[in-house]
Amino acid sequence: MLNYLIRRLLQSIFVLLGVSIVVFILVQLSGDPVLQMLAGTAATEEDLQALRTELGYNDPLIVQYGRYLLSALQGDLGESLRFKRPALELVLDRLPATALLAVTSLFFALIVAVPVGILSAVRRNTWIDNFGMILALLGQSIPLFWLGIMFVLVFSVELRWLPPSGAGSWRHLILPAVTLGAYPMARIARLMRSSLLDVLQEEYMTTARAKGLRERSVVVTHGVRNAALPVITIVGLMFGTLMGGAVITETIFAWPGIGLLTIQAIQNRDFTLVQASVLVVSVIFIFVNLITDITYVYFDPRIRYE
Amino acid sequence: MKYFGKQYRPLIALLIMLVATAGCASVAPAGNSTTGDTAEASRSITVVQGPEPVSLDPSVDINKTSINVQHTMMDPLVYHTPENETIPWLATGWEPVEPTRWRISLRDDVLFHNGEPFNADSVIYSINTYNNSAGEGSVFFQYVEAMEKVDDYTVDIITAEPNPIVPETLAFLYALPPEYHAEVGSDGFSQAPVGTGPFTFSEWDQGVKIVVNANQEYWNGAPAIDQVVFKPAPEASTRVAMLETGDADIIANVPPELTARVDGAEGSSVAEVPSLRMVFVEFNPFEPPFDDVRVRQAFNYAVDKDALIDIILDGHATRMKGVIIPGWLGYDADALTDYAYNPDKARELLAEAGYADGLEVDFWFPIGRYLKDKEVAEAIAGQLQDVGVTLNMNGSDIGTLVERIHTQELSGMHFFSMAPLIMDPDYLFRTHFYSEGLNQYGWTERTDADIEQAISTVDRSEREQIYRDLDAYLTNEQVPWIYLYLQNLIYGVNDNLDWQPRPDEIIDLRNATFVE
Repeated sequence: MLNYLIRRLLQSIFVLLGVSIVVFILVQLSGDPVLQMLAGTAATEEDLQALRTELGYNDPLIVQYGRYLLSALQGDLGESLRFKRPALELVLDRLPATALLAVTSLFFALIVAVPVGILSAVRRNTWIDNFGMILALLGQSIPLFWLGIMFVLVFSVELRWLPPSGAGSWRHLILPAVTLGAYPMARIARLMRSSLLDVLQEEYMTTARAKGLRERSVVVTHGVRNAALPVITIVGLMFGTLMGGAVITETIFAWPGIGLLTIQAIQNRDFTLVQASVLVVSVIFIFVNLITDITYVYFDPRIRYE
Repeated sequence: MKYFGKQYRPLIALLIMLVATAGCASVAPAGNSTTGDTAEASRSITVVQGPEPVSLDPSVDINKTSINVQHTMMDPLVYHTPENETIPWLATGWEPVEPTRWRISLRDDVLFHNGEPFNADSVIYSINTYNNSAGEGSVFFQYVEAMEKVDDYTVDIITAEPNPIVPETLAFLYALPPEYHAEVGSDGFSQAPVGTGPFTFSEWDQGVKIVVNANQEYWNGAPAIDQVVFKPAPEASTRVAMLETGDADIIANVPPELTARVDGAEGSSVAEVPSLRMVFVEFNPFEPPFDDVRVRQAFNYAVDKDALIDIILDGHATRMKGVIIPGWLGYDADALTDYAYNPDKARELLAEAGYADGLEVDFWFPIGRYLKDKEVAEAIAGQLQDVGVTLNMNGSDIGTLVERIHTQELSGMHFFSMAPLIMDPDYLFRTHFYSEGLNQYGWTERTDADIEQAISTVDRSEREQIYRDLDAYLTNEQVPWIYLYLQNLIYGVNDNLDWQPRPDEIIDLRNATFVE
């Protein structure tokens, strides 16, 4: 177990290193940042050169990357070009809002998806199953931005139940969380259903029934418990999707999280801030994956990595 | 795990997952404030723009969305009317006592919100702060060589060269309180700005809202509005929804396709004004085919600008003539060729220039930067096709396009725009018709000479004449652009509010009132 842990940790560090290189190169590919910052102003070539030298863009790429990595390891992701404040600080300021949104969406997804998945499996090929799976199909195929805008139109503009945007109370959280949770909800429901259907075929289920247990307790204690394992994995992996979706959801609902910050940073051509937020999100993603793997081993005694 | 029955294991796993995903904090969003929405105080309004300000220090962040917030709390020395006149504000008067010395007299009855007096010292401090700023505010006053305090309410600005646009730049100088600003620094000031303006700072809930309250002691009379809340909402349809639900009273940047929804909603209407952003197609006149002025003229006649405006932009743009913006110093519509749509004349001119059998031209345009830019570019291609011109269409994001333009040797022609930072023709000509700029496509020896002469001429009417002649020379003889239009600024406004939009994008709430 300890060996496995160490190996997984080392792997994670390499993945992070890879992410840092990719992020660094992507930003380089998007063109001369100095030129873009001063585009359309009356700046002269000398102004451009001065700014390039000041920001260190005149050094060779490898030197720039080395400098970036070295300070990143010390928790310094550079100063935001626009805000003139440490980029990491800006991102961490927004992290709680995104975390709250992501967790609420996952929570929503789970409380809807698990019962829907179970009922669909148990009542296979009935109207309940059809209804549940249509819901899942919709959740998986409707584009996030369209769903968000429709929710605003229906629940804010028409019904006046919920505020269309912003933050500050639990009422502000509902629409973005449901929007962001729609896709995980659909995936989890489908997975729960198929996983439970598999489990229901298992011989130990027959045994449980043969013992004379009520169907309800057969399904819940023997079936769902075993079917839940793949769901746990997918919930962990889902986190990446949620972070990606958060960019769109936060933009639609003006939710003050990392997504909104990143979009603004891209529009402002604030490359250090873009780098910082991508890196922070990657760290979270890798960390959550690691935890998922570890809990998985811990809770399923059949799985052993040596 | 002995303490838990096996049946709880998946549940516990899920809980651990949730806690892990929540990371460091899972309780409240970054700014969880007490007051909910806007409508509590009946005299409160909410203004919704796309992005949020980066800084509330006007010497650092000069984006329009930020200035709109700063402008409620701070006063400029000189006030720009929407008609682009400069009128006294914190400065009561200005005159060049020598060609390189402007004497600025100041109001003697103004206090900052924290009680500091506004005077010559605060003007000197403010200009120094702008000049030493790490942000964009440093662009305005680099021409200042020295400043001299004549008395408490008079200050001399000394320039290296004669500079006629000192008053225009003072419209961007928001007075800063020296003691407070020096004490808290730029970052501290941004978190709790203090000015002389009609509103005082109340709170900034990052990413959520900025609140300012009416300054009952305002030297120019307390505003009619008690409280202004600024909120960000990058998505246009969300802004419109906020207007519809009463969560917003003024929304900026309504896309043309949503104007019908704003007008159709109960209690709100569209407010529209031509902006200062001019959109044009710029030629590379240093190589064929555009080294021949007849080709440049032909392209102007071949493009039906009215059709572009009416059909593609749904009327949300205003035709332009020449380089100078209507109403600005030196603008003279009668002196400028109109280039009304005339495909026959275009064909004639092309034939004269030796292109009777048609020609092929590179066309570079941005996608997603200006109002319907790609659609307009495609329509232009269609119209030019009618006179025998084939365009090689090269669309890209604006960053790539700007980089290509700045190589100074981009072939053919490119779709571009300009929005002036300083409200003076010098800025317009200098950014596109001066050999030492980044966009060196339109300059000639004459434009260089005229620009230099005008900027060293302090007499206003002499400058006016130079600019009028320069604009006529460019438009009638040089034809550096296909002159297209000024994009309109489109706002959605609550009908209860009497407020007028301005061409310079500043949301000025000084004179806004409620409809009784």
